[in-house]
Amino acid sequence: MAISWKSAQRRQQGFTLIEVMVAMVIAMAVVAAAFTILVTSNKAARVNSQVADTQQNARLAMDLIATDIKLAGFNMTGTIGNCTVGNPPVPVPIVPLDNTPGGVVGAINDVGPDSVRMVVPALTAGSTGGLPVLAANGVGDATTITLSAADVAAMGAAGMAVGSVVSIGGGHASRITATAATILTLEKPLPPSPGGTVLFPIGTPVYLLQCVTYAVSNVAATCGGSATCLTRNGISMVDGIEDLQLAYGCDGCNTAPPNPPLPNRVVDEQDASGGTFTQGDLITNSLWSVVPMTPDKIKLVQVTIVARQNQAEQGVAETGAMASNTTGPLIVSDHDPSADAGYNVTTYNSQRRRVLTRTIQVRNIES
Amino acid sequence: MNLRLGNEKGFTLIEGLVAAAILGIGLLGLAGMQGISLNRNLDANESGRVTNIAADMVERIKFNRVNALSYNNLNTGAGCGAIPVAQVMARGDCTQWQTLVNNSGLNSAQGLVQVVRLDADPTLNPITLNQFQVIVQVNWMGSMKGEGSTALRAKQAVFATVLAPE
Repeated sequence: MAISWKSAQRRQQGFTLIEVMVAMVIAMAVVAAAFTILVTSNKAARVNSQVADTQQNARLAMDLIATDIKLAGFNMTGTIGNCTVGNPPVPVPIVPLDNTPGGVVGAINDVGPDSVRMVVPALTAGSTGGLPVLAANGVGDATTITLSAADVAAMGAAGMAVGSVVSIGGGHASRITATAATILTLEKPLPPSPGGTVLFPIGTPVYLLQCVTYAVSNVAATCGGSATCLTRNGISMVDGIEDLQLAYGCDGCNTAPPNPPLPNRVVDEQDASGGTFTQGDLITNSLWSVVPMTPDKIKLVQVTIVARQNQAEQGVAETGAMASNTTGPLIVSDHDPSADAGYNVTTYNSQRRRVLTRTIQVRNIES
Repeated sequence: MNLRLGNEKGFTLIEGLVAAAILGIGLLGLAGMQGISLNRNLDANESGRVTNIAADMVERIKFNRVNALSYNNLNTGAGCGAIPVAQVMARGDCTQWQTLVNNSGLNSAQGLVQVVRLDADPTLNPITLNQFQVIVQVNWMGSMKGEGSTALRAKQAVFATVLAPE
């Protein structure tokens, strides 16, 4: 028993101080390495999510605005909302609203993002969040159309009133002169149909035409906390959109030689480049060579979207040094952001940006 | 009692070090995933830009669809000299698209267009849909390297559509 006790005592010697210190140093090295990885991973994850968000926002904004530009016009008739130019107001399908209109063709004179108004069909004005549809066949010469009461109510909620314009199946547009529970009275009767044939069968979609305004807001309250956003009729649609620039190619809006007097499917010469189609023929400053401005002749719209991340770029370095992009202000179309009010080079350089440019053919504008 | 005391042996230093090394390798793998994620993000950015570049050309051809054939064999690497001067839109579209492709920031980017007549020419056969197949292709070198490789990756995006002039 005594021997056994002694042997046990010998075994309970434990670590020496040196051993403990070595073990602690190793443990600390492991913990420090793990912590470094944690910190850098965290930073990298944040950068990743911001980059992904920025790219996603740019794509979203481009798709949204491209869809509406393709639809703009939509068989419109008469004045819709404030989609007009000049005084007395002339209804037009697209109203270019340059930030700084005028100036020399091709001059970089904008100090902020452009906006644009266009006539587009409301695609979610129906009772189920889709399109309202005819509840009874539309026959020739009819002065009314019948919809379900739910659809009429939903269209009312979407802004339909006496004076609004609806397009039936995209084929016949008319102003509404009276609304009842299920009946809309048309100012312009349906086209005549011999023998009373059905022109628009039950289920034909009815499009409520609206004038929408696309703009870029930098009011945090409008943007739901984001620094900048793309708004549609004042409602924030896409976060983190810093700039929207539009350039327009028109056919038939400049009749001075070398342009022919009538539209010829060639974008009009605007920059005196000798009859060739150049970037300068896309008007960036709402200044058409021949007044009055005739935006109904717009055939091509070049959209440039600049998206930026919402927070300053922190980089992935452990030291906390801010990442900086020193390539200078991003000049798109006729906008040089370094001329903007409140431009700060340090802030500007610490934000990552993504730019997308696309030229879009307008499909629904008659001229 | 002997049994209990014998069990009080801890890990050896070597065992501890091996465990730390394994943990370290695991953590490095986790950190590596962030890098992969960043690379894929940049790939996504390139794809997004290429999609817009191609959409730009498709829209331009759609506007000038009557002269769609004059865009055939357009190559931003070769210039726009082959397009007849009379084709004002096609020439302008070519030079502007060339600028867009060259300034896209994509490595060695090159845009190509193929337009093929699918139906008989309406001047020869009035009963025809007069369709054209339009293929817009963008080639570029992926800016980010693949894992374990230092070479840039040749990438290609092909967009095909059919259009019919009225």
